Amino acid sequence: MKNRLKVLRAERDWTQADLAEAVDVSRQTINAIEKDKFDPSLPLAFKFARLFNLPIEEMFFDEDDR
Amino acid sequence: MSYQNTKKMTFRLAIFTALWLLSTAAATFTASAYQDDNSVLKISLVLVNLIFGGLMIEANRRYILALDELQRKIHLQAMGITLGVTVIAGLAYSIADIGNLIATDAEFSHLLILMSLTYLLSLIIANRRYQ
Repeated sequence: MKNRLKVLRAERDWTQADLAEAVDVSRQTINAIEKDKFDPSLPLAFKFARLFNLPIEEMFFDEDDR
Repeated sequence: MSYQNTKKMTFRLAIFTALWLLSTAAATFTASAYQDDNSVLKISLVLVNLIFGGLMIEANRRYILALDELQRKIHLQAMGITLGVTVIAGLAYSIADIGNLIATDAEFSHLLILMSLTYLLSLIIANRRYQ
């Protein structure tokens, strides 16, 4: 699964540590998600959606859907 | 449980692990050093060892719950690999001992060392994979 987390984070000038603290996970987890090495759970995806005020499907998408 | 608790839970786990190790050393030393009857002391130290062991298990459970989802996945993989390696290597080791294929008796401590090293190595490899 692909995501736009890195772009969204950069737009707000946040570090990985800032984002990690905002959604209550480790910086390593944010890094792994941004590099598409780890897919977040649905509850964590909802946390990102609330934080960035975006629908989940605008942040996470299957590579084939693009 | 919140990920912010992880540092606190890691510290608690370190404390109870250290206490369990110290009580294990004390119980082992007493059991081997005092061969004459000193049952009350020996039983007391074994009981203290069991209590600290129980507290360490609970601290480990809380530590795992305090991890975030990626860290839990990494630990789950490491636990799975460690369980498999321990069962397979342990049985092979036992069979080798029964068949007198090894020079010394099979020792449980060797299995503990293998478990620890397997868990450590699995954690290092999995952490590198998600970096």
